[in-house]
Amino acid sequence: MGSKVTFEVFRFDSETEESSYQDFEMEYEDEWVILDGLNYIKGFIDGSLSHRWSCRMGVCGSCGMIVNGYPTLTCSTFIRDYLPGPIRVEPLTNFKVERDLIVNLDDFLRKLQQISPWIVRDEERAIEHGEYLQTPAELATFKQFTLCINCMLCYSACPVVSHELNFIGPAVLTLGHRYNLDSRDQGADMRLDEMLSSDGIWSCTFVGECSQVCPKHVDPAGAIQQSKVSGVMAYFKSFVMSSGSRE
Amino acid sequence: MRRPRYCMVFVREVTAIFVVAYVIVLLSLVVSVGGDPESYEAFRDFLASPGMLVFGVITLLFTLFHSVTFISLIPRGMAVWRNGKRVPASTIAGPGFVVFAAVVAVVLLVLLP
Repeated sequence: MGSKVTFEVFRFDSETEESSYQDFEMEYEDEWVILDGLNYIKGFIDGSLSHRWSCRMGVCGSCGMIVNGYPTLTCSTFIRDYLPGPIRVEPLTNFKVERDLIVNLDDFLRKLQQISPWIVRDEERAIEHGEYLQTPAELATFKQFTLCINCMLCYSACPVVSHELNFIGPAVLTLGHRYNLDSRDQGADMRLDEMLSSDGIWSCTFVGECSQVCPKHVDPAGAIQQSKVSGVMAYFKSFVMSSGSRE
Repeated sequence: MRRPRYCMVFVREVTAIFVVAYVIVLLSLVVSVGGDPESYEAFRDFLASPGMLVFGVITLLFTLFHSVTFISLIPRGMAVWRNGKRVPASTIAGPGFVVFAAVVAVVLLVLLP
């Protein structure tokens, strides 16, 4: 402990619907991340501050917030990188705020389920037949997209999400693409129906900010463009197949 | 405008308007070629006016910007795999730039005296 820094924290009371910024000055240690500062505030200055967090190691994706105007994973961002401050901490944009720094995840979870983010099989193989095997090369095609931790920073950064509430969004579309690429999966056609809908991949204007803010370098923007290519290929394939079947 | 990337995408979209406008000018030129000689000469004079020259220079710059950014983005949408490794972006975008430069060179050779 030694140097001091000021946090300007967004406060919101859902019952009164009143919002404000509250300043908290505190001493910090050099290795503290933004989340440590918030935990210090809650533990020693104002216990009523509400924020979401869990693993503190960039795995659970719970502590995404807006830090000085930029979507940030607060457990992976050092206070020292924002000195001399003040450091403004706000809830993720493009989400309804529940309280202080906590946002409502219902819409995101609904969209997540909509895309069937699991391995879909036409017919499940019996357990005694063993696992579905996959080569390292097959794994490599989608491994990058498995690294998503659903922190939703990409939703906060996406200008399309801010204007089109029904847009499925970067993380969920990336997850859909991840399963479509999985050699064990057989649900691509079903998933593409959702992904090619008016709320799907074609709403993406390829700003690319989702990939910039992604703490895991998943590249959602790239995944969505690749899905567009897959969607077009699927369309022409179905066109050729239906033409062939008419003859 | 707080985020430069938002601004860049906006500028890029706007450049498409100039590209479309230039296509309209070209189509108008084709129509005037099919008409009488007087109207063709009048259209040529119109194209040589200072305003159209400025428009042409701006359109050229915007078209170059649009083309370069478009080719640069191609590798993001094309995941090509070889021997279990993703083909580098430069290998995919490189031929695009080569073809683009070749087409520009051919057009310049034809147009320039």
